Amino acid sequence: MTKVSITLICVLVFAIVGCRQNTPANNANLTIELVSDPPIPAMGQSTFIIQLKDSEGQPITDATVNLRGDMTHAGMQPEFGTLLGIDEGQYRYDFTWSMVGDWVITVAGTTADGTPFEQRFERQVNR
Amino acid sequence: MSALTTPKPRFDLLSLPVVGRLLRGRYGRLVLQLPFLVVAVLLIYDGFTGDALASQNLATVGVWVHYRGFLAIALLLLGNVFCMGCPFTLPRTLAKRLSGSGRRFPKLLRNKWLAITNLFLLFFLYEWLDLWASPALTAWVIIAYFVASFVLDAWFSESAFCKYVCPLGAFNFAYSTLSPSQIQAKNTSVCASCVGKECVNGSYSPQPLILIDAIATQNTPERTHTHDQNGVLGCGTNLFVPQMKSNMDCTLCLDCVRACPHDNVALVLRAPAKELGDIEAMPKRWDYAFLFICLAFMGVVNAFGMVPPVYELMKSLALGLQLGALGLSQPLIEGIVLLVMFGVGALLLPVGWTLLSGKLAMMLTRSKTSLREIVTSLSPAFVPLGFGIWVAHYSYHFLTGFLTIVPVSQLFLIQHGVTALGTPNWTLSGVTNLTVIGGVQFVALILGFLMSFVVLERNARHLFKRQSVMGMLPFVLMLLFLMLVATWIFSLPMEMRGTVYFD
Repeated sequence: MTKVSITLICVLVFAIVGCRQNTPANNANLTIELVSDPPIPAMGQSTFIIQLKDSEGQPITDATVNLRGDMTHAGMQPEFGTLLGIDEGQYRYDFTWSMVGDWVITVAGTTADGTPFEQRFERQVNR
Repeated sequence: MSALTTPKPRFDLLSLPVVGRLLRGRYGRLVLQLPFLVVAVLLIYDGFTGDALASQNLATVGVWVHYRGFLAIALLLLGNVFCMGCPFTLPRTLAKRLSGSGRRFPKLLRNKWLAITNLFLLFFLYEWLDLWASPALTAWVIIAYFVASFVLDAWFSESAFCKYVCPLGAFNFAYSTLSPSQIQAKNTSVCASCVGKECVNGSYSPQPLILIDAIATQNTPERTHTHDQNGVLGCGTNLFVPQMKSNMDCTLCLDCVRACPHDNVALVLRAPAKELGDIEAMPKRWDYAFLFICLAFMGVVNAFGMVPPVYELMKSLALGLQLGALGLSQPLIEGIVLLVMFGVGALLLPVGWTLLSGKLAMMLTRSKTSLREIVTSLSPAFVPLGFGIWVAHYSYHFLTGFLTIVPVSQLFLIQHGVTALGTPNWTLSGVTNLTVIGGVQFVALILGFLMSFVVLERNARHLFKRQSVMGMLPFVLMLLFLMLVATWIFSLPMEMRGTVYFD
């Protein structure tokens, strides 16, 4: 009986441990679009254009936009960059895909009035 | 049961002034287990509550970069210290107390087949579920270990989890045969006259029990020792110290050292891989043989999962099996294809090829030695090369990312209000020169292959005498195949890809 209880307790503990991970969610009042050139990422040089719009679809200018590229495997050094404003609500960064595989691009920053934003994009880089 | 060995006197690591005393102490293992337990709890906690990105989470960085790297180093330089410090067995004492003595593990399962299956499942799930990219799943794996260990130790009398189930334990047991240390009796004549055999039976007794070691001429006890509630458990994996010729199944828990009333157990320094070249050191069992051989092939298949040709092969397999036409989901197709790839590469191929090689060796030497005798005697030759393949793979992740634990720890502390270590320095990584890493991988493979060849030649000579060259030839081809395929794989650029898109 004791053994059965132990087993049941373990199964219960096993089942109730919840997953609550921190995945950055975008600010609801912002739209962040990521366009890369070439559109299907390949190893080497690539250009990112980030388009920032407010809830009414108006471009957001004068924001500080940073970018971070991580491979999905732990232990790989990330790539960083600060994007330059090139047009109304558009920000550009020349990025180097250093390895083929799955990447997560984190776009984060603050608008001119100090509102923070962050969003992640997944990209698969080919040869 | 093999005969008692008469070991040469060697340096006893437990005689070292501070470390030796600490390890021999009642709570010696606990000193190592507690820090590991704290780390395991931290990994679980951050795995569930921390950043979902693998590169920014302690669970994924700790397990898939650092644990595997340190494990390889420890096995090579020290011994099976990761089993010694294993936190999964910590709840064992509680489980034993709750359950009483328990029954023995089912006889049918008292072998390595379950551990081989679990190793296969672990490597398959690692690829299919992209465990390396998921902190939450990594945390679940750690919890699964705790639960499995607790339940099995509650149900069964011996350490069934360690000896028969745990895939990490099976990996550590197999490759600790390369380690430079081993448990050994100081004087086997003491063991021969030992009354209690405490190293295996333990010195624990609910009621005080006096054991008589020697009787003087007047029929009065000359020497006695006592079992009581302060005693310790004997070897959890049922090893009898004076018969130990190998590190297989030894978790280095040192319970044998603490239980021995005669202070007759030592942790000696020895020549690495000593038992591999001694065909009497290992039991002549198929499960041991295929653990060694399949682990080497699993190493190749696991590394193959990270280089470009794997994606073409997976797509070809999906196409050939017409899985797309069945309307299956992409993850299911990937799972089936990986199962086929792992099943063939890590199980069917090594098992089939080994049996064929054994038969060929019999034919070439016209030997009357049984197939089992040949395979079990020559299988230890796959240990050094297998370990070399794993080291080559793990060293890539460890060397390129060993400093990434620093910013990830900084991030963890900041997320919990501790700013003492400053802001995360994400520029810290590890060795960035891929030529250096390639050199390390190549050296690991070459050394592994050479050592495998030496072991094979030695064991074949012992088995086939003057026919040894012909007898070892089929197995040399297997080792050469593994070596060449591994060299090819590690010469290819690594790809960290979790998703494969099937047509």
